[in-house]
Amino acid sequence: MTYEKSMSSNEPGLFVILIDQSGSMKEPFGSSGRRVSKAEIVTVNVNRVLAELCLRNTKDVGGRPAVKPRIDISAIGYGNDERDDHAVRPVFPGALANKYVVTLPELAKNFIRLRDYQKEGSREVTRMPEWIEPVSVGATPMGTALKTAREVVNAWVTRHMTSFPPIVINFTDGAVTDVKPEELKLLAEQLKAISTGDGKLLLFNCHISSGKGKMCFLPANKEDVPSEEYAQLLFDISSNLPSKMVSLARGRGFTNASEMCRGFGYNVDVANFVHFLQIGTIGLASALG
Amino acid sequence: MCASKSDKSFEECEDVYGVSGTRAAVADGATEYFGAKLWARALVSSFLLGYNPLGNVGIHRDISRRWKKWMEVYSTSIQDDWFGKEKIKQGAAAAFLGIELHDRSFKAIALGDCCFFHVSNGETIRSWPFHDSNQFGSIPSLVTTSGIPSSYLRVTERFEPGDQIFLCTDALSKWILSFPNKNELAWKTLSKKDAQQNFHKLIDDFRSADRFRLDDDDVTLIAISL
Repeated sequence: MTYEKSMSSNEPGLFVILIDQSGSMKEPFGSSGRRVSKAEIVTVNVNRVLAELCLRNTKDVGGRPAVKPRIDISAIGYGNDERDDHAVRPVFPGALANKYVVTLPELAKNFIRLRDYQKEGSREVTRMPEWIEPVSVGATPMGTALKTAREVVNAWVTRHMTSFPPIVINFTDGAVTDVKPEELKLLAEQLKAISTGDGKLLLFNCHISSGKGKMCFLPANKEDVPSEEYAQLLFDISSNLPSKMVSLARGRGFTNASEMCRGFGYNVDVANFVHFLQIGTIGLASALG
Repeated sequence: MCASKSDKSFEECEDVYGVSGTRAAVADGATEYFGAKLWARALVSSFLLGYNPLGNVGIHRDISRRWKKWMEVYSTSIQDDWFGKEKIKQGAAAAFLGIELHDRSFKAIALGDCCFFHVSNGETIRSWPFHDSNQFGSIPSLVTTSGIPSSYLRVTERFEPGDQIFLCTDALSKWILSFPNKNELAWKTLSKKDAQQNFHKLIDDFRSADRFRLDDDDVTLIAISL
């Protein structure tokens, strides 16, 4: 049996979140008329997930609340900066700067600010910690991002051979610019070949909407994927959903979800982007216990 | 008898139990919440004092206010711990089972997955509120600090002299129910003369057994001979 292992302090899981920080991420997310950029929506929701993971894993330890290190997190941005034509970098700030992998206790102690959020349609304001800032500049060096992810995950797996396999979730809004499709495929296969005793690494890809084109979400068949070469490529490199995630997807209303489905979305809108992110992180961590 | 999960110390055991006069109760604090054991204790204590913390609005309000007050005071000692303080704001929850003995019967109230077993001649006559080990695992309704439960379970059970009642928290209940033939083998093991002295060893053995393995979670058992 694979993909069954619980995430625990002794055998933590690993979530690697790859975030496209290319220039087009400053454009609005989808065509709903909202003026919030894709970069902002991605970072707000990734921050929410990080906060939720820290909170859910805060337990009573010897009469004091303590964040249990049940999950390690890596957040890697890929885009441009002035120094480098193609830049891939860990995006945690402050004391966590330049760290590719952090534990939940480290994350919990080192957020950069608290921000007030008002949920849409509600008057309730909640304070939430933030770690990541929205960035959008330059091209899309996804090939280098996958290569970096492979190095990070290889190093982590040597210390966690019995853990639940690492999950890599890639959010992008456009085509890869630093490698050709065939090389991207190869890099993805090399990443997915990494395994622990509980199975192979899972790579999920979520292409977020610019407002044009039909949405495709958790498809089971290649025929259901838009014919654009890029959509087909991202589908090809995405892993199938393990059964625990199939149950989570069904629980969120995706009643056609099955183990034939790939963890892949194309032209995804905001709501489904949030589902994708949460199923792959908080949902899975809770389901595994 | 009480034993904590294998990776926790005894003090970290979230189960609470108590016996007073004709009343006995067990409660299991939900580990997702901070201060759940304190809440479980509050429920058990108020029940042993003769109250019904599941059904009496005033009693529930009183004990949950006291719990919140205690947490407010505690929060001041963890000023820099944002997540700790947020966790405390979420309140607490516990599964609860209480019984009150009468002449030839007992009344039970419960919410959650703690169970009683009415045993006669080494066989289960009745387990309540669960009767199948598959019923464990899904998230049960719990007694929370946020408000009195909208409903809870009640039952009256008749017994004969010589019968036994066992009150158990979820891991042990699930384990007992996994045995066939009215859980015969489970009672044979738990009723041995030295079971109480050797409780921790017995639990360790059950947790590493090849068949009928006990889940690694806190374990509590009150055994009453009638």
